[in-house]
Amino acid sequence: MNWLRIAQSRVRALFRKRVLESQMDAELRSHVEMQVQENIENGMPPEQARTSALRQFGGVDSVKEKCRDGRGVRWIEESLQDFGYGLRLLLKHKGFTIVAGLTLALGIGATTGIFSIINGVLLKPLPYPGSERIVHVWESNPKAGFEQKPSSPPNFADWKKEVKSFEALAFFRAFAGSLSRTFILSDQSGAQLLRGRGVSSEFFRVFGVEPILGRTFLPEEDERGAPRLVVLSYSLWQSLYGGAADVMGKTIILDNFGRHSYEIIGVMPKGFDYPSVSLWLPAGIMEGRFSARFNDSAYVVGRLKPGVTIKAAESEMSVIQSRIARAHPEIKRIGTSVRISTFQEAMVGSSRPVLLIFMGAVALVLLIACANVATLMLSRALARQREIAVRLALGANRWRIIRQLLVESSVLSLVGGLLGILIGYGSIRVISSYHAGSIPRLAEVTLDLRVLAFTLGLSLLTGMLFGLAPALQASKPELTDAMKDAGGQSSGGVKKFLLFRIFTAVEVALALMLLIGAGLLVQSFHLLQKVDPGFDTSHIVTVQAEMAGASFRGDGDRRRFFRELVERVRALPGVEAACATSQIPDRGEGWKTEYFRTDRPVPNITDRDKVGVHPVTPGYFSTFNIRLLKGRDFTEMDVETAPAVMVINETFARKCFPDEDPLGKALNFGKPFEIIGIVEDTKNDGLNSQTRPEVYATYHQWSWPWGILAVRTKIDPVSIGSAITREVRALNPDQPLVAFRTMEAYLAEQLARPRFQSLVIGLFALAALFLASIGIYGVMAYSVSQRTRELGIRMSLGAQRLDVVRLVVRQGMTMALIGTAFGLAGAVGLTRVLRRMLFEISPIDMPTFAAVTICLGLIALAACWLPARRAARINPMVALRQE
Amino acid sequence: MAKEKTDLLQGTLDLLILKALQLGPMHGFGISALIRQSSKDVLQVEQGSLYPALYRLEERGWVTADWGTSENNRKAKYYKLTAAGRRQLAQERSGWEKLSTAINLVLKTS
Repeated sequence: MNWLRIAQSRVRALFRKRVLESQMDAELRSHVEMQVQENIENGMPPEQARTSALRQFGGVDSVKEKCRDGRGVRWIEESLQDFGYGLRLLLKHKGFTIVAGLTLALGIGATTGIFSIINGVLLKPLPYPGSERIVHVWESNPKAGFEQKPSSPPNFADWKKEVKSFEALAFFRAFAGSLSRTFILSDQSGAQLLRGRGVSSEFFRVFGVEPILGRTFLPEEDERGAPRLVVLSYSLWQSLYGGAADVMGKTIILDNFGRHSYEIIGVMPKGFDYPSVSLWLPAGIMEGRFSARFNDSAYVVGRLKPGVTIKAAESEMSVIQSRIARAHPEIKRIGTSVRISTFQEAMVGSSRPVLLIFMGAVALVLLIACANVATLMLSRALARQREIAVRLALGANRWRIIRQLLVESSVLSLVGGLLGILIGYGSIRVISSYHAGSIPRLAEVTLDLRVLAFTLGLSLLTGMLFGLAPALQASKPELTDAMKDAGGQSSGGVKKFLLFRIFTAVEVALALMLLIGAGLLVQSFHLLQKVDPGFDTSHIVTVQAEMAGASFRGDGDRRRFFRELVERVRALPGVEAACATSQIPDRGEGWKTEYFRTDRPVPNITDRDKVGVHPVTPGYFSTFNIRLLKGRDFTEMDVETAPAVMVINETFARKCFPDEDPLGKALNFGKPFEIIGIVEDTKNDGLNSQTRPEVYATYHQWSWPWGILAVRTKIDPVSIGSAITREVRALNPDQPLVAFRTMEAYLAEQLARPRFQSLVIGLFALAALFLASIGIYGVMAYSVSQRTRELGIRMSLGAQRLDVVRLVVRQGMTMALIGTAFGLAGAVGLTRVLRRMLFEISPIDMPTFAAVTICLGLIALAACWLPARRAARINPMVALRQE
Repeated sequence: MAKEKTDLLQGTLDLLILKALQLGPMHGFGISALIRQSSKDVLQVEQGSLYPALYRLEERGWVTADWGTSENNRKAKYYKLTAAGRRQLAQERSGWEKLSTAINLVLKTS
């Protein structure tokens, strides 16, 4: 155990240094005294005794040094010393420290932040056991026009009976695109809106999560007529009951299927509430067309058995599904095969391109930061070359000097790194809080320690590398040259300066690329914002109402319900217009149906074109302020027994009747529909796409299983929401309502992602600009300081101040211009990558390129200007005498 | 470690110190005096080697140190051999014997 004892004594040596020092001092002194004593006893006179003793002892301090060396902790002490010295040096050269520290912090912080986000969103597996086996199962029928769509409860039931590839298979109910429902929970404190989901019994097993209290649903509760039970999420349990353990059997009152009590039977653990779902109900009580095979409201998820690949499961299920499709030829929109995607992919896949582009951008920023740091460290090290040479000549240990320089750079890197952690953390917080909606899993992203370690290590490495180079160089034997160095004219200096200029040109190039990218994105976003959707978006509230249950036995019931509802709602105070529709203007494809013109020969059924049919009530166009260009709107006269009529949009008119007047012509959708009106186009395929051709039918003449009530009013959504609910209840006490939303919210959703993208890249570009300008300034300032003597000579030989300024500026701008040239070339290549994210703006948009280049040029000019002015103020006499 | 009057290997110095202490607890001055006298002034240990060696031996646990009073009523640090130190002394000694025997053998061969 020798080493243990040795280690102990070393530790003691570190921490009880003062005591040990004084003891050693005392011991050596006593030795000398004893020697003196002996000398005196041998007959020497006292003073001679002492000097002889001391001489014999050897230099006391050198003995002490040797003893200290023997203690073995010397290097630690020295490093601590260097550390302190490094800190003091940083404090002394504040300008350098601030610039270098900020640069490092920006580089490290930005990189860490973005990589943490990428890791948390894209790469980290979902927090469920065996999450790579959790998959989404879709019906697919490319011929009918869809690659993946949700299934229906009867299809799911068939799958469940026969399929073998899954450990667990479940579905959750969806409704017209919304994956969860809004419930109004009323208790003594008022009403709150909660999101809930109807799930089948194996749902929780798919995710491998057990409830922490109670149970989840049983297979019999998948069927219709299931009892009204509810499973709470952890956060809801906490907020309602404070985490009390005795909630089993308690009831809560939820408003969606009418107002009902639901018995609590279980609570899920913390964190299981993707995506902000607060409660789960049995699938069996979610009404709707349970038995309809075309009711695509069952989002199927499953857990594959271990070892079963996705391809294998897809083939097995496709066989089953194609059999089902063959048995039901009357249903057009039924899947003929099955597609499976991993759950994680379905969640985050669409964010991938965006995040990867961010990664590219941040890599550029990091490069610029490293180049800056390298330049700064090199320039400082060059300035110290003389000092190092002198120390070496005086006998300093080469390794000691190298170690000192390493420690100094590490200090700087650490300082920058710590700041970088703050920046990284802050940027994650900011991005999450503003954009958690548009990117899934963003809210759970935390600072990734591995990324942090990586970037810290990188910065340390950069610092050390460039702090070290001059030390290694300086310890070569050309000491005398270095010592005589009178202003950086040594060959090493000139070569290094070229390196600086290359670095700076590179920085300018990279910054230019980023700025152009950001400029394109920002412009794209603005253009998107300005797009006229073709319909009114302000002051419109929509409510979805699923028509199910005993009161809706047929189309007649549904029509009656909506007609009465719309009338009642129109009569409410503050309501300007109301209507019902099957989808909102900016999404949904309508019912794709074959048609043909009645005034042309009848084509084969397989040759017929299809168009989306959008059933509405009269008043739809005026509610949304969609202009009627020709003809008339539907009225309540266009009933079932009246002649069938249709309104078409401009795009369809252009497509189907390019040179004729469509009014009065008829289209056959199984029976003839006369065209009575043309409306202006709306952006029905997203803001950044072309309008789809679309036709409208009146609800009397085209059946539809669900409806959306749209109300134009200036009253706030919550009050009008309760008023509407009252009216609905008056008509049908059990009517489920869901999703009170404003049109503005829908549109904001569409803009959320482009806004996010342009914001983030814009930030990066600004950071890059900042760093690059500092780089230019730094290099030019250094150059001026090194050339002080030369400039002084020039001025004394007759150069005007202006000439000197021009000289400096020209040198700097050359650097910037070269960088700009390369940057433009790089930007052309790089922005092609952005093509996908750009709207109505080409990746090679001349105005953007030009504007950014000019802007950068001006900033570069400013960055050269300051050192140039300093150069102009050089006093030739002082400069000439300068060493 | 250079600049001894005679080149003493580090291990050998340890051996000499341990041996000196075998005769009883001693301070640094006394140890160097003892070695000098016993070797008839041939081996003169420099303080720059003695004290580091003493600290090293203390670190290894072969000697312990304590402050005491010297003959002339001065405070001095006395070193004492420990049991482990005694074992180490025997070990080093036999090592030295083996080494010197071997060297002698080589020198004898003509």
